[in-house]
Amino acid sequence: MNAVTPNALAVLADRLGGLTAEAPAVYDSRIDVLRDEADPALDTFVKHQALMRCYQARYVLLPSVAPAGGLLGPMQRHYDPGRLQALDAVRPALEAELIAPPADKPPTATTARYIEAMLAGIRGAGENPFTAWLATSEHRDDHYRNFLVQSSPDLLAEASASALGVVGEFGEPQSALFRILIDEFGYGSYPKKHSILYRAAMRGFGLDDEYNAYWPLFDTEALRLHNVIHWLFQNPRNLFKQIGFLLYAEAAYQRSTQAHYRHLTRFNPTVDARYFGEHAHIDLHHSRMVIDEVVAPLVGKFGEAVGAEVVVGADLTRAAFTRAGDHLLAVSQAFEAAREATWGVEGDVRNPLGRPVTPTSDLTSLNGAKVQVGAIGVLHDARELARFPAATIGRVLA
Amino acid sequence: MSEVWIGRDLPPIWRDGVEYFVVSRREELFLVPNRCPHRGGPLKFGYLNDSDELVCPMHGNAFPIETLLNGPGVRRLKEIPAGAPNAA
Repeated sequence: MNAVTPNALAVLADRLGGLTAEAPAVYDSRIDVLRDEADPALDTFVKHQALMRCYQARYVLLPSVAPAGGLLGPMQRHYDPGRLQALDAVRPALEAELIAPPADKPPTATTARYIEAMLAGIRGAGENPFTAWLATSEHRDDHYRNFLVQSSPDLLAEASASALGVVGEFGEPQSALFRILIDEFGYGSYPKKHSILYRAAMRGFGLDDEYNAYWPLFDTEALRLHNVIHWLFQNPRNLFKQIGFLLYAEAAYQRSTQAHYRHLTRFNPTVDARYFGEHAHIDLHHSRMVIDEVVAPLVGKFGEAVGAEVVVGADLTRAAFTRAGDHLLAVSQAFEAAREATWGVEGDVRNPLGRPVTPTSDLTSLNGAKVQVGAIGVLHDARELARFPAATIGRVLA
Repeated sequence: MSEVWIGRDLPPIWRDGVEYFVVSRREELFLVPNRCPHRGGPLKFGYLNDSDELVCPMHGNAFPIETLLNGPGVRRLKEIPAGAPNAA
């Protein structure tokens, strides 16, 4: 399958259009347009933006507040069949290039042994590296804002991907998966919906809780994690890999949210931490449900061949989580070491959308321009970005 | 065979805004709130395990029948509905 060219991305960006003043953030469809420079890191970044737009275009979004000019115009433009078709046309090539699953390989252990080792590894992993480091930083709240922002592409529409995995008819495990989904969606009680709890945490840090409000600040690794999750759930062919995702995610997330809950209750006791407390509790149940009510019966019925697929999905998820977590910590630490910087987000995050740059861009040509790095803060000299992790995205400020 | 019977196939029973389900135990009948103490799951669709515990279908939490019947909001009835195994 041919790779998507920069020209094709530029055409797509034009087709998706810019963000008009009256369009709500939830219908922000922009992707960045690459200039002539050849920067593979930027190329990957824009491709992940485009892929995320493909997935976002498939779930229902409404703004929190009615737009002054009416809803139907922006909504119908956003979901215009021609735009959806343009996104669908590039999606397979983007997925093939960006989200290569591990090559199929014979299982080295039974699924049961894999699960045993996976759980032991998660339990024995020690302290969460990010929250452990935050405890030592004077700017922990700025870093935490960035964590919330970078996690928001997925968590402000939480379980939108896995909802695709419960349609159809596939026996008792389907009902177990549906019960997990019921929890994610708060039993039909809006205030208990996990994405709503996440919004409360964002507001606690003074952040805008609207979906996509921070689109220009999402970096490559945040987009990649979102896209890996959504890729898994696009096609029923991936059913057992989807289950592998849930297998790893439910177990690992229980531990990480526990660490975040402790962090918030210690350092930010006035912030609504229910999102993290809820996951630290309910994911214990979900982990057991996935193992006992989904994986075990399916492997028992269809054999270890499907178990191997579950393992592939779990490994893919582990790699994506690890990569995103390592990157977040590395960017935070790099920013902490900056010589001259201002903390927080400068200016209007929606408009104008500053040009993206990476550590491998030609930073000297920017003549010491300021660069916004995620939601952490602003580097006073773009050249400082050169010592950041490769997947860091900066926005050149005017 | 367990001496407990769950009226899971009976229509919903509402009283004062609370949904109940019927539990028959020996010669007694109870109305039990159809709400798992854990997360509000529909207890009446659970199952009885070998230890006479009612297992919630949502998250698998198990509650001894004795504990449930002595819990808050439980109402004791005087008649046995037709269709229950120990009905006349």
